[in-house]
Amino acid sequence: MRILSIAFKDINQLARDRKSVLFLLLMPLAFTLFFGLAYRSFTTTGETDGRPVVAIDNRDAGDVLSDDLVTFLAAAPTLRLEELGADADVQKLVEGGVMNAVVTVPRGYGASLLGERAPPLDVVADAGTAEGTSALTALDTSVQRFLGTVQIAILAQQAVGDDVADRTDVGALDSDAVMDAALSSARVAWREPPIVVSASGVPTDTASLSPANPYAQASPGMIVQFAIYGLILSAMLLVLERKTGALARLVGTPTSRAEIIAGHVLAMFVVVFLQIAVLVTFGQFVLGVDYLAHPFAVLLTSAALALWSASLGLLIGSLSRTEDHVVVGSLIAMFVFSAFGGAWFPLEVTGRAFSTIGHLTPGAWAMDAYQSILLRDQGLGAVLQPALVLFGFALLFFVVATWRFEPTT
Amino acid sequence: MKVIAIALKDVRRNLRSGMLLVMMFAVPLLVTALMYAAFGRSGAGDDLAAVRVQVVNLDARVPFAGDVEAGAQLVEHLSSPELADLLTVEERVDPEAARQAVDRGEAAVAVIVPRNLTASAVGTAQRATVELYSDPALTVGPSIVREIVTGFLDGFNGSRIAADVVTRQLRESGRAAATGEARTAATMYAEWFEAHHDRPDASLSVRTPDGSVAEGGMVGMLSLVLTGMMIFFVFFTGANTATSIVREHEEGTLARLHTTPTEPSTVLTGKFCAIAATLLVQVLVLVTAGALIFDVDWGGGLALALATLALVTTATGFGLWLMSLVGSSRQSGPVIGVVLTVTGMAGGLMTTGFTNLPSAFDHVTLFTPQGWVLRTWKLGLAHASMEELLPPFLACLAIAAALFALGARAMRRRFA
Repeated sequence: MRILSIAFKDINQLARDRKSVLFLLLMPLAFTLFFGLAYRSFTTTGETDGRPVVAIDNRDAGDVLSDDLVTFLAAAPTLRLEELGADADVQKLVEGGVMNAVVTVPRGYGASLLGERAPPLDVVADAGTAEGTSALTALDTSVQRFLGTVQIAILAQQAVGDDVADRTDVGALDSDAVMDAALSSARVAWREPPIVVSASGVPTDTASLSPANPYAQASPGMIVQFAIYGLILSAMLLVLERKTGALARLVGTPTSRAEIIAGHVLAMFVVVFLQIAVLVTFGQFVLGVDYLAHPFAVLLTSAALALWSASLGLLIGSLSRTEDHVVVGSLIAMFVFSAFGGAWFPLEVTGRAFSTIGHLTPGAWAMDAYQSILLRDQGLGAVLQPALVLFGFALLFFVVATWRFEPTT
Repeated sequence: MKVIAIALKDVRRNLRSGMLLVMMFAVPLLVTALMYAAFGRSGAGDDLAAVRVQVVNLDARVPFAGDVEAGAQLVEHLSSPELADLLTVEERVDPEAARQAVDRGEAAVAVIVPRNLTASAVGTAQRATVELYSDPALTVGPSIVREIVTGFLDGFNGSRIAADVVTRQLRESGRAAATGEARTAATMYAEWFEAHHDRPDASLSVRTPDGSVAEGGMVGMLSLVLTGMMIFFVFFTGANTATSIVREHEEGTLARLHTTPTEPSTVLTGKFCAIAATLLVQVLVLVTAGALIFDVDWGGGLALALATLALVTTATGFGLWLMSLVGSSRQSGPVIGVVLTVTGMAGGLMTTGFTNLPSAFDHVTLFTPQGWVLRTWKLGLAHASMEELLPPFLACLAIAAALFALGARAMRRRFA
């Protein structure tokens, strides 16, 4: 009963503080919306059909092979080809994201393909961006295939030429016609190659392997981040109670030390859990992130995350002597656990060491559990292990916090 | 002299606050260090953890296919020492077990080689489909595997197409059977493919939009992240230190100061100088730390000086103006939090590491003072000419002057 009274007092105090609405709700909502918009640019490419947009400047127009390259690229399913305008500013087009890459076919390129070694095509793209990389990958595959097509045509021309030379029943060979026909056959064949790679039944030429909804990263990411940041207020209460002597007075009553700690932890748990509940609801109904596909898994994950956050809040509150300590402690905990936990960016895009360390931190387990639900469409079974690890971290932090807990300054 | 005394007192007070020092220096450097730790020095992708791949080879041997065992060759390629840094391959027998390993998160991708792969490669079977069963929560790993598998299989595809095309052309020229020539064409294509495949820069020569040869741009990205964080926290410091006016008003020291022969404008100027001096120290420390720790190239000396001036004056003006709007020091925390978060986001400070935001966002940032400051710094980092640097720099000065004028007017009315 005393535990509930202490928890109720803390919650009541937080509810009356208008800053709570700001830190616990408005800021996480704003950050979720904003980072979702930012991630959107990673998960969608091009303007309309998801393919990177590539412009081509054919300075060797009129040459059969160079023209054929343009035709080949135009038919490629992995990119969308557009003609480059006469006075187009290539730098602006690529920097502005209007085009993901611009290819220039130099004069004499077609003729050089029949020689020993063709020069590489000049491409302007920003390889540092997801769209630029996507365009370069698609271009590289298509150009390699085109070069293979030319090689096949050369081989066919040689084979027919050798054959005609050996035979007496046929007239002179029209090499160009053989070349054209072979090019045409090979081009058609590449459209439906004998061996294809599929992403679980969907041909990868057209399927995107990226998660479609960018909020599937932003929403759980900001839940994890602000579950930590929100503790700033709860931990502050603990410090203020210690500074004002309220904690010392409480120790003087028949309330045990364990009850005091439990009451404060319960309040922190309830506050963080409610905050998560609001963010999950917002994600589900406003952002289209399907948390309700596995409601019990979400419930377990959120409870585990809230409990770990509450233990962290207690630890920060126990270690802090002033309000400034709480702010600094919460901020540093938020930055470190959010970054290492993959709340800002997926750990798979980070370096080996960072990713390995990250996977040992509680934030990563929470993110993993939410992603199992949202992206892998897995239920309770998949989040049991992450939830248990989070409960373990909660226990660890709780033990340290209790050990360091002092009612007086 | 009074101006200096007021300014020195405030600067001393600012630099003695442990909390302010953490926010001024530690937090921006910590965020940059985290990005550095995550993405390394040389760029994303160089040091990625190896992608865990499960391979199930169901491919069956085909009589008369010679040495061709497409499935085994694919597995050998994926397990080759050249790809050891990229892939960690584990062979499995059961496709379902491989898929379940992916479901459990034990592998990023399962590559399931069909029974008819070799048959399709040598032309005795119809289309073969190699299945990539990937973890939907991952994007980079599956893309790498797809690229490697597709690139390798294109060798078989090309050989088969070469054989088919040669056969067709010989038939059209009147030959009834051309098995030998087809096989020769397939072999020659395979040799050509082996010589050309995986040769860097064989088909494309890539340049960045500014004309330089494309390479990992992590140092550039770190510079932008540090710049974004620096601008954000300099604005925070500007607003936070400006609360001293409100605080001193509440504590009564401002009223006591006004009983002395000190003009209100002198007090305000002293406060302005204190904020500007604190911010200048902050920028200089962060710029030096960025150069020493993260190897940031801040651009030319003049550009850096202009960018610093733009940042310090704008953040000072913004801080004074913002604090002229708050009623009490209790209000200042939430006001600083909300206004700086919103304007920082809209100004592009949180997304400096995002390289492919919609271009329209560049224009949105210019509705905030932070956006103009960021533009000035970005131009400095890009070694832009003075002609390009001056307009945003002058815009920053104009914004700073306007904010200072508005803030000073409001404060004079309130505190004088």
